[in-house]
Amino acid sequence: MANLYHAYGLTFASEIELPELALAPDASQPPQVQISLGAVPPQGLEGGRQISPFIWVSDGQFWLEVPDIARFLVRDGAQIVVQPAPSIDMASVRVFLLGSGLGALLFQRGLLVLHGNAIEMGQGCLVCVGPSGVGKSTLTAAFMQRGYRVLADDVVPINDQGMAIPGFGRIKLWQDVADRLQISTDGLQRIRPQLEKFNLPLGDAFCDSPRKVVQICLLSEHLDDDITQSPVTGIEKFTLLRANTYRQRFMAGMALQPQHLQQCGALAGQVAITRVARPKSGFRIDDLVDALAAQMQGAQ
Amino acid sequence: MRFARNPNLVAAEMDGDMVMMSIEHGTYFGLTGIAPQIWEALEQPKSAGELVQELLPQFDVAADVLRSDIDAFLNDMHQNGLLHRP
Repeated sequence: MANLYHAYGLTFASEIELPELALAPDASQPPQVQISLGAVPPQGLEGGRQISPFIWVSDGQFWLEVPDIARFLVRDGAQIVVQPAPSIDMASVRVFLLGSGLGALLFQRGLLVLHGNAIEMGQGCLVCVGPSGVGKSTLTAAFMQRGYRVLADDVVPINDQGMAIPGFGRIKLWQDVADRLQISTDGLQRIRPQLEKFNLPLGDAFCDSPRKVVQICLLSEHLDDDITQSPVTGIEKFTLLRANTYRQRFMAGMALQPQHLQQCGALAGQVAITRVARPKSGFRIDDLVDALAAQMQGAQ
Repeated sequence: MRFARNPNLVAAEMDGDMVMMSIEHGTYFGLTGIAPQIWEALEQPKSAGELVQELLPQFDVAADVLRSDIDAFLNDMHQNGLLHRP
């Protein structure tokens, strides 16, 4: 018996329990995506193309192996088959299913998928992108503490109207980030048994309807003590959007590059993009939240 | 001698600049400055001389300066496979 869940504007019928996702509000709606447990061929896709040691793609299909965790087959934006490795815990399987698996599915469904976090502001939203470890999660949690609502953590799909689509109501936080923001991790589920990284349920701080992307900020660190902001224009906008596309190798492998370029062009026309540098030592998180909120007001 | 756009390209405009991608090779090209306007003007195949005539009123430059810019652009685009000679 499959459970029905709701995320990214889609209804999922899943044989795997997905406690991170909300239950579908209306169980009478036919699901758009089936997630099932089953055999996934061990050697990749026949007639497909191998784009990395553990990824194969072909028309409408995406095959991923995460060694000792699971193999995944994502088809036509409508189906995910999961074959867990023997004796692996399902929390670990879900990390990759909800990350790379859903990411590939969203690409197949024709969305532009950015790697970052989306935060509701006014009538629109701010999307923060940047390399891992630069503080996207810290910033998102800090916005949440200030009363802002969060649309998506890590995977931000954007539709052809330039709207960010909400994911599911949790953010992933490392212990040190939680400590810095004085968020207690007592009672929080670890995203994987061995990791000091926790699922923080958003509750009312989850924004569950799409919001227009008004501003994208590329977060980086520098050695100075101040917070600097500089606008990104022209071709550099594309370079930045491409570099911060979620698992961009998937997209190239799935022959989605022409569509991706046009989606980036359309998005570039509607958003302001800003490079924001924060001090490497001393996060100055409150100042950063203030600076971004002020800039967002200017952009709207 | 006329130049024509390679049809196997996708283009997107970004604040007046243009990014193009070769569908065949998956490689990207950026057009800045007057290059996007030259590209626009090449909706129909044109020679360098025809381009100079068409674009000269839009720029505050001497015809020979524009001609050498256009020649450089056409050569570069042709070498990179973005234009061909029909």
